[in-house]
Amino acid sequence: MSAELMDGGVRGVFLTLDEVADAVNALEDGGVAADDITVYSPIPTPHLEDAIDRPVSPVRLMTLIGGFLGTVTGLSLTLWTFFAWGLRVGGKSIASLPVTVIIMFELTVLLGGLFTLAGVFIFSRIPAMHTKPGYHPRFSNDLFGVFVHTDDDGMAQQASTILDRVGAEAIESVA
Amino acid sequence: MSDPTSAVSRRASGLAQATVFRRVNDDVLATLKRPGIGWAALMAVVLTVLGIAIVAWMYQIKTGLGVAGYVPPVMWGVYITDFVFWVGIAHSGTLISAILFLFRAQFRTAVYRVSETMTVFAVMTAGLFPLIHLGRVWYFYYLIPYPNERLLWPNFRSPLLWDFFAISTYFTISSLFLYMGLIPDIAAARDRAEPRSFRYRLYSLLSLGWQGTDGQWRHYNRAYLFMAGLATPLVLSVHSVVSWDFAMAIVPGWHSTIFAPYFVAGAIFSGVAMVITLVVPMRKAFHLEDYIDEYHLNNLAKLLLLTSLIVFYAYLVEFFIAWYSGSEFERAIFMDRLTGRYAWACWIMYTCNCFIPMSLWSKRIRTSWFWMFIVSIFVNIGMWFERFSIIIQSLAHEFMPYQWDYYRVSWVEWSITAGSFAWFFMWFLLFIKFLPSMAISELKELLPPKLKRQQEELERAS
Repeated sequence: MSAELMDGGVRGVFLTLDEVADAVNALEDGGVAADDITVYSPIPTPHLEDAIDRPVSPVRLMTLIGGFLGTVTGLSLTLWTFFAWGLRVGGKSIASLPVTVIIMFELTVLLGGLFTLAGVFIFSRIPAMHTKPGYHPRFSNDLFGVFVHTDDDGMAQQASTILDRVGAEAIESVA
Repeated sequence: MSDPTSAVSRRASGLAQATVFRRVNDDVLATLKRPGIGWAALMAVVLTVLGIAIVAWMYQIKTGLGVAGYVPPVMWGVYITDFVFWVGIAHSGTLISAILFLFRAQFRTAVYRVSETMTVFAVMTAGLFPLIHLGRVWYFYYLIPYPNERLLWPNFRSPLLWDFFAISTYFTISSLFLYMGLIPDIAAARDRAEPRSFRYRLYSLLSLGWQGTDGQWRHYNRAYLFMAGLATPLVLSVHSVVSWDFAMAIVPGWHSTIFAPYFVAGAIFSGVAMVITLVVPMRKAFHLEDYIDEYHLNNLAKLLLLTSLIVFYAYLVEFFIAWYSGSEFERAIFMDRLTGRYAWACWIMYTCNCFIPMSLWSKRIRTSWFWMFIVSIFVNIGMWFERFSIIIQSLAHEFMPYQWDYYRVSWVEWSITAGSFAWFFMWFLLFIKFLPSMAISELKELLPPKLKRQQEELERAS
C-alpha cells in the first residue's frame, strides 16, 4: 500500500532537491520500502524522478486505449451510417474513406485526451476530499518534504535518524 | 536577449533559492487579490457592450435573420466571419502551450497560461456564432450528430459536420489541457487562501486535493506530455477543417487546395497577436515585469513576423493560382478583390497583415511594449478583415453577374460582433482575478535546481 493512503509517520522538511533524493535513497538503503515513502515537491522536476527511480507511469496505457477506442469508434460510426442509408449518388462509392479519416482522427484525439486525464485522476488518486497528514501547505510553495509511513515507534525512530543524517531542516511526527 | 530564461531566473543567482520559490508564489498569486477600480471599470464597459449585444440578438431572434443584412447571394456574413476569426484566435494558444512545449521553447512558460485561456474563451466565443447565424436558435441541436426520428444520420460527407467534431474536440482537449496545467497552481492558491473563506473552498474544490507527491507528478508529467502530443496535430487539423468549410465548395475564391495551410498560418498569426494584446496590459497592471520581459516579447514578435510572411506568401500564391489556373471566374474574383466594391476590406487586410508586420524586422520595435501592442491590434483588425474579405467578397461575386450584390453589415451584426469581444474579455477578466494567470510550478522549474551545494555557498556568501 502506498504511503499516500496511510496516515501515521514521520515527515522531514528539506530546502534542496538533492537532499530529498539523498533522503529517499538513504531511507531505501536503511530498509524502508519504496511504497512507504512519499516525496512532496513544489515543482514537476525530472531531476527528482531520475533520482528516486520509480516505475514509468501507466498513464501512457490509458492514452493508448483511449486513442485506439477513438479510432475504432470513428471508423465504425462513419461506415455504419454510410451503409445504414446506402444511397448511391452519382456512381460514387457508398462509403467515403477520406471522411472516415477525419472523424477517426478527431475521435482518436478526443478519447485519447479524455482517457489520459482519467488516467491521471485514477493513478494520482484525485479527486481527494482532504490532503493527507504528511502534507504541509509550504510543499506547494518553497519546500520539499519526505513522508515516511511507520507502523511502530522503532521504525519511526529509525526514519527520523536517517532524515536527520541527510540534513532535514525539520523532522516531525504526524498522525 | 539570448538568455533562454526569464528575468527571475537570471536574478535568482543572487537570492536564496527558497526565497525565490516563495517570491514566484507571492508575485503570481498577488494577481488574485481583490479587484481594483481599473478592473471594475473595465468589467463595467465589457458588460455594457455585452448587454447591447444580447439585446441585438434578442431583436434578431424576435424579428428574424432579415435584420442581419444578408442579401442573396451573400448568405454567409459577419457571423461566419466572426466564427472563423475567433477559431483562428483560439489557435495559437495550443501552439504556444503544446507545440512549443514539445520543442522545449522556454519562452512559452511565462505566457502559455494566458494563451491557453485565450484558446478556451475564444472557442467559447466562436461557438456562439453558428447558433446566432442559425436564426432559429432553438433548433441548435440539429448540429449535433445523432439520428433523426426516421433514423437518418447526419451526412458525414459534409464539412459542416467535420467542423462540429473538430471544434468540439478542440474545445474539450484545450479545456482539459488548461485545467490539467492549472491543478498544481490552484493547489498553491488553496494553500495560500484564508481557511474557510470562499476562495479556499473554491480552490480546494478545483485543486482536487492535489498535494504534489512524487507519484502525482510522475503521472502528471507523463500525461502532460501525451496531451501535448495529442494537441499538436489537433492544432493543425482544426483550422484545416474550418478552411474546408469553404474549400469544399466550388465558389471562386474558396475552392483552393492552399486553404488549409493558409488558414492555419493565418490562425497562428492572429492568435499570437491576441496573446500580445492580452499580455502587454496584463504585465503592466500586475507588475509582472520580472516574469515577462523583452526576451518573451521578442520571441512572440518573431513568431508574428514568421507567420505574417507565410500569410503574405499565401496571399501572393492565391493570385498566382488564379492567373495560372486559366479559370476566368478565379481571375475575375481576384481582380475584383483588388479593385471591386470590397477592395477597401482587402486593402485593410494587406496593410495590417502584410505591410505593418514588416516593421518587426526592426529589433527596436520587436522589443518595444508600446509598438508591439499597436502592431498586435493592427494584426487583429487585419485578420478580421481577411475573413470578411474571403467570405463576403467571394460570395458577392459568384459566377453569374446578375447574381452579384453588395452586402452591408447591419447595426445588429456590428453590435453582436462587438459583443463577442466583450464576451471574450469578460471571461478573461474573471479568469485573471480568480485563477493563476501564470504557471507557478513551471516558472519555478525554470529556476536553477535547488541544490545543497548552492545553498551552502549562498549561506557562506551572506
